[in-house]
Amino acid sequence: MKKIMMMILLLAVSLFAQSYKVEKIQGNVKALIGNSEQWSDVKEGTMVSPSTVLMTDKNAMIVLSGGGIKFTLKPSAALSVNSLKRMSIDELLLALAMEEILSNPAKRKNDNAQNTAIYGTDESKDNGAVIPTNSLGDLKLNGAKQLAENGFKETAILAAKEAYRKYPATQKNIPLRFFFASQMMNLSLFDEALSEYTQMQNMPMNDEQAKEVREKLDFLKKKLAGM
Amino acid sequence: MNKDFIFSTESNPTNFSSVKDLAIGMLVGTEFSSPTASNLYALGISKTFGGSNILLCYSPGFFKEFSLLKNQSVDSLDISLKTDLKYSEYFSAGYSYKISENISTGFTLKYYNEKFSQDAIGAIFADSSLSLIRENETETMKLWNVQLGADYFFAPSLRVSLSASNFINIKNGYFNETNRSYELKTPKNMRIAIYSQPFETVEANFLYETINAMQLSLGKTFLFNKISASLDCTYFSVYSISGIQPSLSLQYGNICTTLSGVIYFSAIQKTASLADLASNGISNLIHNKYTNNKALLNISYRLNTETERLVQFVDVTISNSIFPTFTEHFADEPFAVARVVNLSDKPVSVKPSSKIDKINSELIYSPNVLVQPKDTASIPFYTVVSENYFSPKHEISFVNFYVTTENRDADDEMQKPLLINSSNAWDGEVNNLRYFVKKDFNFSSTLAKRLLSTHKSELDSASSGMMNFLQAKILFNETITGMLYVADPLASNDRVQFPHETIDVKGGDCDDLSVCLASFYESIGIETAFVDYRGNDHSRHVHLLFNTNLSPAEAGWITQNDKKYYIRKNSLGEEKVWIPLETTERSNFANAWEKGVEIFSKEALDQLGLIKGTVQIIEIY
Repeated sequence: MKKIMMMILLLAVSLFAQSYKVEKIQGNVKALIGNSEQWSDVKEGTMVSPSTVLMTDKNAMIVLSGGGIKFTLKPSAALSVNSLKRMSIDELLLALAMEEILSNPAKRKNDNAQNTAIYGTDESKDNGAVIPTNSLGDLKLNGAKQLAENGFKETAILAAKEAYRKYPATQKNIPLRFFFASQMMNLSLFDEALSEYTQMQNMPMNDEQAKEVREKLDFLKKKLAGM
Repeated sequence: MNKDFIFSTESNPTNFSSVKDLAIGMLVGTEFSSPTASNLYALGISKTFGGSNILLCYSPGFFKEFSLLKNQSVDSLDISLKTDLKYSEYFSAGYSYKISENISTGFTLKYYNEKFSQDAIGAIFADSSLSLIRENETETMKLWNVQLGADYFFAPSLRVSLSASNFINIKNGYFNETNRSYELKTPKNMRIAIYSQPFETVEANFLYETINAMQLSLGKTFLFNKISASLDCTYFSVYSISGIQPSLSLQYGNICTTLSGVIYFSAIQKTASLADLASNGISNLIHNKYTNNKALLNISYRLNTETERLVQFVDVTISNSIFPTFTEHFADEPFAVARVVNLSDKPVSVKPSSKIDKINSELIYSPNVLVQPKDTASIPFYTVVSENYFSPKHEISFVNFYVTTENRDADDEMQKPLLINSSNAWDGEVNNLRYFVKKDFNFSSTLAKRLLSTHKSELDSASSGMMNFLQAKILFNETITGMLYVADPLASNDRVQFPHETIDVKGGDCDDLSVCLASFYESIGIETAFVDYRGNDHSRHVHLLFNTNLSPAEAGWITQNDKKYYIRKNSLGEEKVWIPLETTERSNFANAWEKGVEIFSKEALDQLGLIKGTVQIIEIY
């Protein structure tokens, strides 16, 4: 209990994300600030807050600096500025636990159907999205990969998991799932890695990938069993 | 311990009694003398009134008789003179009073009759002659003998009895000097007895008297279905007499039969001289040096005209005042806890029940609790508040608690006052706001459908996937938009309005508005959850999350900004898009949504409220 309280205190101090200065821009870079529904242009020399999501077009890039961190978001990626921060393993575990709390409601006492089905033609319309949501998911996953490659492995895992949850199509990107699962193993997050490989097991993939998943699962099960 | 209750005055000078109501008994015995002598020894009745017990015993067989013949020569004429000594205990009585659960005090009274008759030679003088005749002289003494003392329970299985005998003797009659030497000896005597039950079915007793008497006994009870059998063996030593008394008792229902024998180790004197009797005397009609081995049969019947109480309340603690709107809350959470003691020697299943005046129209039963013998257990009391109950103000009521066992009537009952809060009262637990949501369901459902029907064309043209979102938006804009934010009166800051009241007064505080909106949403099948924010300064705030029923892939239909929604699983485990609504932001749905995101992201996520426990998501159903 004491350890958990300590972790929470540390987390409360270290998790405050900071704003970054836009050092350099190349190509088409857009920003979604706060709760805005509109993507806007980003200019060099301006500050971007943690509540901002940055997105780079093909052949575009942006360089951010602040708090001793210099980060380059390469082409075809999206990244929440909030993710640009150092995080310990304990902090990551707490953040993952928080996601669990949020995403798993207590079961309803009454499991009766909440709504009856609607019969008829579904006249879903094009909602006029500027960026197709699935594309944004892929961009976010790319952004998460760049975070990991730049040493922000912990926030990269969080960003990847958020992308999987909010953009389910990204879950089918098998190479990137291998990438993030290996990041989890590198951080000794064996339970999380096991869960990841278990989910991958049921996805369409080639024989080589399937074999690797099986090997990883065997390894993780033995590891967790203390063998 | 009380199988032979009609021996009480002999073995139980304090008249300690376990007779619950009424018992009658008969003791017959056979003394193995030559010839054998069988007698009805005693008839007894014992009755308990409240804490008092009275014993009456008629004992025609408790007597001891001596006949002595003496030949006397007078003028070379042998004359046989007879001396008869008869000691009888005709009657005994006892009274005891239970002062508390641990202490009982009492006394016994024995009525003895001593009748001594002696032949003597008398002379009758005629004119010239002297005639000798045999004359009989009889003297009688009546003796009231008192024994008194007290019993104390150090533990349910350990009783100590302390008593004094022969300190008070009331005599009525006269004995000449010779007869006085045969008189029943009544030495002053202190007696201590320890009755223990070291194991559930084992009794071990010890008795010591200052007249140099002691007694040791060991007993074991065996239980067979409806019959209990006890085997006891008692070793006794009184003056120079010692022996054992083995006994077998069988109890079936209210009837108890005890067969016992008395076997003396010491040599029994069948004949003795008057001088011997005069010097030693007798002090006990049952055990004395002139008695014989005997067999005794005791049959007793216990009648219970009153219900035997198996359990009893020690106390009842009301843990919660009643919030009448929380109809089912007290079915899960006890409103009171009682401590109940099992008075019996067997495990008892206790059926608790209660009835709150004005709240319950009939008894509400709580789950049975098994209480071990002589053990005390905590028993929770639950209740269900009638949905029809409504009161705009607090009131003091009372609740009757009952504990029932195998008896038809309650073994014990207790009444306690209870605060019933007003129907609008709330205990501050956001979890319990759902009762206010549910209470007005009919009103909310009817109004929601009426309001949505005015947007029929908009809803008809929307895709089915967007239905929850659109309905939620319409209902917000039709009900919450334009309302006033009105804080609770300071004196009653834990007061929540029912949805119809919020609509009537067109305003409320955060919990009133959240309850009102949640009631509308839930009444048409939109899942909701309260978000409870607890500030460091004990301030509280609540707003809503609702399920748009859109899949994550469909989230783009309602927003381009993925920070404005959260993915949560529904009851089927499917991931759905949920959005927060700040109900006090009453300008419109879009602003309430944005404000909700702002507060939730900051408090619940950025500041780790969900982990720290300062923010809780509470599903409404």
